[in-house]
Amino acid sequence: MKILVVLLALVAVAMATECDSLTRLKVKAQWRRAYSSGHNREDFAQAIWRAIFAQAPEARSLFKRVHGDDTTSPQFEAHALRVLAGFDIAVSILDQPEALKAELDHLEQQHEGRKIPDSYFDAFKTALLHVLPAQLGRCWDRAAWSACFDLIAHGIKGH
Amino acid sequence: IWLPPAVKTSVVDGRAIIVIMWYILLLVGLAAAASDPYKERRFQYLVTNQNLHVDKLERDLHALEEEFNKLSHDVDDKTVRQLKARVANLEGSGCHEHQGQCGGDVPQCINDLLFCDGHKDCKNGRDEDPEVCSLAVTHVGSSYTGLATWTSCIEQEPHHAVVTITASERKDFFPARVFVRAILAFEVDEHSHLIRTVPLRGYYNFGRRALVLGPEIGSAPTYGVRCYFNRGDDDHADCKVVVPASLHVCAHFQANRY
Repeated sequence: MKILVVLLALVAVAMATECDSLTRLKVKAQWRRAYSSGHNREDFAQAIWRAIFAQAPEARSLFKRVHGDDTTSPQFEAHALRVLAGFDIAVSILDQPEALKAELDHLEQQHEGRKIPDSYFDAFKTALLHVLPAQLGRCWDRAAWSACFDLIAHGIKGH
Repeated sequence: IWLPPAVKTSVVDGRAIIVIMWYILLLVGLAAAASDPYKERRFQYLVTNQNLHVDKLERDLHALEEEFNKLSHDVDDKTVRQLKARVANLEGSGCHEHQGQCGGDVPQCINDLLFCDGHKDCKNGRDEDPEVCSLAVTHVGSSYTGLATWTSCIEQEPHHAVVTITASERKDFFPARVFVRAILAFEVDEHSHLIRTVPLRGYYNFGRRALVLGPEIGSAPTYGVRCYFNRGDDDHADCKVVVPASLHVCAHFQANRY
C-alpha cells in the first residue's frame, strides 16, 4: 500500500511539471545546446523574433528605436542578441536563486513603463517553444521549458 | 472554204487569209493533241514513277528509323536528377551544422531556421523557392519503405522497415518547420510476421531536406529516425534508425515512397 502511494505521488509530480531544481538543470543543459554561437546564434535569434512579430505584428511599434520594422537590420540584430544574452543569464543562473532574483529584478526594471501586454510575453513563449525544438532536433522537454519560461517571464513582468 | 462576207471583201489582202488558215490549223492540231491516248499514258507513267520514288524514300526512311530505334534511348530526367544529386552529395554542401545550401551558381549557406519562412534570405531567393519548400514529403499518409540493415542495437536479419506520416502541422508564425507525427514499423519475426511499431514525432527541415523523428511523448525512447531526401526528389530518401539520445545508428535503409 505504501509503495502504491509513493508511486502515485511520483506520477503526480511527473504529470505536473514545475520549474523545480532538476527541471532547471534540464532546461540549462538544453539551452546550452540551442543557444549555439556565432552566425547560428544570430539566426536563432532572428527566427525567434520573426515568429514573435508574425503572431503580434503590432508589437513592432515597441521596437522602433531598434529598427523593429526590419528584423535583418544590424540595429535589430544587435537588439535580438542582447535579448538572448539577457535570457541566457537568466537560464544560466536558474540554479542560483539569489543571483536569478537579482537578474530578474534588473530585467524587470528595464521593461518597466514600456506597457508590454501579457500577450506579447505569450507570443515570445510560443515563438521560443517552437524555434527551440527546431534548433535542438531531439531530446527537448516542452513541459520543462514551459514551466521555467513562465518563472522567468513572471520575474520580468513583476506581477 | 466558206468565208464570212467581211473577209471576202478584203480577199485582196492575201495576208489575212494566211492568218486565218494558220489559226484553223492550230485549232485542229490542239483538238488532235487533247485526244491523244499515248500522250495521256506517258503523263500517267511519269506520275506513277514519281509516286514509286516517294514510296522508296519512305521505305528507306523507315529502315533508318528502325535502325535508330535499336540504339539506346535517351536517359530520362529522373535518372539525371538522381545522378546529379549523388554527385552533389559527394561534393558536399560546404555548409556548417544548422545550415542549408542556397544552391544556384554562387554557393551560399544560410541557417535552416530561415528556409521557407516567407522572407528571402538567400541572395538568389532560393530559400523560398516553391521546389525547395515543397510539402510533398510531409503529406499525411506518405510512407517511406526500404530494406533495413541492422548494424547495431539489436540482432536482426535485414527486413522491411516502413515510416508513415500520420499527422503534420505547419504553424503560420513559424513556417520553417513542418511538425509531424509518424509511425516506424518493422517486422521482428519473419515466420510469425510479428510487427513492431514505434510512435514518433518530429519535424521536416526544408533547408537540409531532413525528416527528423524522435520518440513520441510518454513512449519509451527506443528509436528515432532520420531521413535525408538527398536523392534529387521528394520520393527517395537515405534513412537511418538511431538511438534518440546519442543518434547512434542502429540500422539504415534506402527509402522509397510507397
